[in-house]
Amino acid sequence: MTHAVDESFVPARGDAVYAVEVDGEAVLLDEERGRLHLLSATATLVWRCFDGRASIGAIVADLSDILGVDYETVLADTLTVVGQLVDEGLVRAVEAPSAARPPRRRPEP
Amino acid sequence: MLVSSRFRALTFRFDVAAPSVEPIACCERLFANLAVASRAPIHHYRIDDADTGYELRLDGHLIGQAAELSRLVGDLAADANRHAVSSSATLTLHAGGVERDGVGFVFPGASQAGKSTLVAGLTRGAFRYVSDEAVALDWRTLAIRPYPKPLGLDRGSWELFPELERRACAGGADEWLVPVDADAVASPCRVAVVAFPRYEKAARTSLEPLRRAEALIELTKNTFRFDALGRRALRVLGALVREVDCYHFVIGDVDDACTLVEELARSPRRSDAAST
Repeated sequence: MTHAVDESFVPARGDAVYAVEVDGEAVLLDEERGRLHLLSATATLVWRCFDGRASIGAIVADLSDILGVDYETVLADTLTVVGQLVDEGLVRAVEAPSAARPPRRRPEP
Repeated sequence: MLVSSRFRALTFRFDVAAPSVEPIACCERLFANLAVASRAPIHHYRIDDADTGYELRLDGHLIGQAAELSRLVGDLAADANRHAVSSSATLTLHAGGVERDGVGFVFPGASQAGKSTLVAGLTRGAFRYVSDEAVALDWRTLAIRPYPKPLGLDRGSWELFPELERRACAGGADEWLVPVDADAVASPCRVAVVAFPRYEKAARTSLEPLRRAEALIELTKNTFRFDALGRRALRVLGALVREVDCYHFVIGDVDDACTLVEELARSPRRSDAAST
């Protein structure tokens, strides 16, 4: 089953993926495919938020608050990062999205 | 049949048997820094005369033939090194290494990157020899365990080190294998600098800081058996790069390269860039 990568998507780190973080950049080892990936500082920040429970919407809301950057900008960047990680097989969707924390949109000003 | 001393290349223990003194004397000289008194089980190389020259066996299996003894002993050294770096007892980098005042400098790189030439240049000065090919790290402490195998110099570097020609005692037509003086062998030490050498003819020799995450990726490419070691190796290499300064090291001239490493040794702190 495939999931569209949108705000309701609940990302979880791949079971065969092992991460080491150095100076704010993560190096991911995909043991299943025998491949290494270097994440940018931004992608590493997003990667840290993948706990298999929070949706992208919830993650983006938190990051938006912490970074002081508007929700839509963070969402666009996060969807790009997650899409790439999904394509590489490093991130999967949690199968029961209904149990996930719902997206928490930042209040409109 | 004569039998040599026992030697240990990292965890690979071996001795050499031959029907005459010459091969044994050659091996004793070449592997003097690897000699051990251990009684642990070992592997046995055997050199025999043959119609076409010499034959080499390991534990009874034919593994090499050569017309010249020096080449056959070179094959033996290469085979022992292959066994040494295939062990998981240490985390072993495909790297040259030197030590000075208890501080280790590691130069990981593929063949022809300039590791051996750089190490030969540095050990001609005040640095002591860790290895020119395989730097072994203790899994737990990250300390370097020196592996003073014979220094291997390809033909392209011979003119830089004419003094080593008379000391070379194996290797064949394209490589000198040179035993390093015992007093020039490093002690166990901590790594302070990891610099990835790349020889470029006529290039300006330079050291440029490298992001630690990039260095970690490069280290995985230069770790023996990384695919088999997996996350355990990545975790330990990550711990290593957090402790050290990392550099790209373009080498156009070995003397300039040695000068830059000397400067690092005098003040082993990361700078924005260094070059000559």
